Amino acid sequence: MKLFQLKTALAALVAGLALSGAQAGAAEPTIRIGVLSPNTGPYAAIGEDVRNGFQLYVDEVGAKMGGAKLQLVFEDSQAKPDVGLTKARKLVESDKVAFLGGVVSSSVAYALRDYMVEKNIPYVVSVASADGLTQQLAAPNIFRTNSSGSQASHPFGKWLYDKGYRRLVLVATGYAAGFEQSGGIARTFTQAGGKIVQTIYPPLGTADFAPFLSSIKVKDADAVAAVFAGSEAIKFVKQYDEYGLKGSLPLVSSSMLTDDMILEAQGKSAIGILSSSHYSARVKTPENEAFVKAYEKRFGRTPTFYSEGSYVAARAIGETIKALNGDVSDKNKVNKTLAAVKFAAPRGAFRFDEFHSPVHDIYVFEVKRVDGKLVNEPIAREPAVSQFYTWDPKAFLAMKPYREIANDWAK
Amino acid sequence: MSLYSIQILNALSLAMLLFLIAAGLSIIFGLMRIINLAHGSFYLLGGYCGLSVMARTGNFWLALVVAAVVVGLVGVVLQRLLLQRVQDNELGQVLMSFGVLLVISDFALWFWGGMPQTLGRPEFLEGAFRFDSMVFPKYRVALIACGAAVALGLWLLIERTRIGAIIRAGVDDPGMVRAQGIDIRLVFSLVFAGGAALAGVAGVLGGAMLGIYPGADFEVMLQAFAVVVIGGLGSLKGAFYGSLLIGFADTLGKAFIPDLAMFTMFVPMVAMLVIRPNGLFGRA
Repeated sequence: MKLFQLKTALAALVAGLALSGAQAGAAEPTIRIGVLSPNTGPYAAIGEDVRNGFQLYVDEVGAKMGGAKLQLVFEDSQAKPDVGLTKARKLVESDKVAFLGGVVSSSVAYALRDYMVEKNIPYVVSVASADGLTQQLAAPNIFRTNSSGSQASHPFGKWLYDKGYRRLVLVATGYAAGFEQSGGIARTFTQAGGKIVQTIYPPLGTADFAPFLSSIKVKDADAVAAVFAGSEAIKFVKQYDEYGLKGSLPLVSSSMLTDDMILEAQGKSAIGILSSSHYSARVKTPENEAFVKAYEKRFGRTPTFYSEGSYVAARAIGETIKALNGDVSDKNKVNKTLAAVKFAAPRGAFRFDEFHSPVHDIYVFEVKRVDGKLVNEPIAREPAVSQFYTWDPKAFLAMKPYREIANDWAK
Repeated sequence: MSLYSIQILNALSLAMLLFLIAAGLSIIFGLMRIINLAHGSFYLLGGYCGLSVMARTGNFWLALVVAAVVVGLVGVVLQRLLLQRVQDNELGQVLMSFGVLLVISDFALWFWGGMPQTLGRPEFLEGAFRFDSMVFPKYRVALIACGAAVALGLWLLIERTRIGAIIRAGVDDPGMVRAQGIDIRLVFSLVFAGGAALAGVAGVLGGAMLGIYPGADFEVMLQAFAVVVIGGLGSLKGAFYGSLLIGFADTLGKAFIPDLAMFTMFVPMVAMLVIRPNGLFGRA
């Protein structure tokens, strides 16, 4: 991390020198893009992916767009709401950034919301998935390039029913993201005619899942739908295997349970798990092939959906600057232009819906071993899914939020 | 019925892991009156050292030994260089050891990276025992046996040996021990190293059960303190029974009233502070 900061500092210095040299000639405007991500704490690895995603895009376009120079300014949110807000203020008020991107933790994303809306600077969230940001709390300058919490879950619940599953156990971290992602599966699954036989919500920070695993009603269910992330996902998948459940009940999930970052640590315990998401490094588009190749070459690791989401955020910002010929002075105009961008992203066709959450293809992935490496291989695809799935946005927003009905699914 | 027996085994395996961590914490406090918040770091360091050894040699037993030695040395350095300077200043100890906890957790993040990882296990402990519909991982059975063996070993060491007698005497009256011509500072360092090494070993054993990742140090420290508060600071017996109580309260709470998972873990601690502030076996 220290090395990284040093590198950024050096890069800034060099850029500064180059800039002062160039000033003698035609003055080229510089557009600064703030990137807020955790460099420390449990989300540090995700933060690195976020920065890599932004960096890769800016390097690809030679740090120039629409006649302006692009400059990234990185700040560490430590995944803490108060720190995140302080850093956002610093980026906006002293660095004068024209865009703010990144943001991993949903609590940080919410903490920044009012401040960013007041400043009306485009706020492009590239990881945090909390539904509210692009639903009840949507605003003209709030954008998201990742799936919203329940977006990938909706088609998946229906898909599971169509594949013949009838009875599900829900196991999810007991906080907003867990309720949204598991609730999304439960809603379309039960509407299709399936039944939720049991819900278990271990609290965030659960050290040992054994007691929860041992109380799963194995005989009453066809599959277990689990929503966990990071170190919890590793523990859950490994212990699910250890306790002999892997053999008897298929495990299905939202993307985070087996995302490309933690797959290797889960090892063979993860093989066969089905999950739904808009991206894995194995998505078969020409854009993704190029992206994965460039990313692996530059950073020596496989991109995750955190990297791709951040790369797409940077690209959306870049396209906006291009469309405006480098003039980002009128904030309303910038927000409108950003809302209208469309392009072929690594994940496939990308655009924003009217609430600024992406409309993109949702895949079902299966964990397989390919050439000795564990990967999320796409096995099904539902094209152009929005966060509202088949509902009318008004009707969807009128329904109770997932966190309020989390305990009702099994009733 | 089978559900209960599995949950009891789950509780025992968690309790034994907690005991390995809390035993050192408790004895260190009993002898030196040091409140060492950096104890969680010993667990984290142990786990990561084990990880590095495993990555190079693939030998689990070597990982255990290296983790014990490295973390034990770190413990001695910490005690001699830093904590000894704030011997009679409780607030100073808390602040200093918390600072050390933060420094070590950032060091681990810088050195080993932020990716959550898991340690491999010896081949023969992979897999699970099965009786009818009951499945229980072999590794956890081994962990329970190991925890029980360490508990017995420590008890024998403290109750039946000369060094144990010195430690017990040191807990009661360090001044008198010194007056007998015993180098109490050496005993302090040895005990500190031992406690740290035990937490380091727990890091390897726990890393193979729960994984090792940034933030594990805080999780573990919180639980270890709950154990020590319940058992009574400074008592090995207390650490043992405290671990069992927390292990069972946590596991059975999660299994039967999952909505109150965090609640069932810390309620015994709060209750104990109200009813018996010195814990089950602690002395005033």
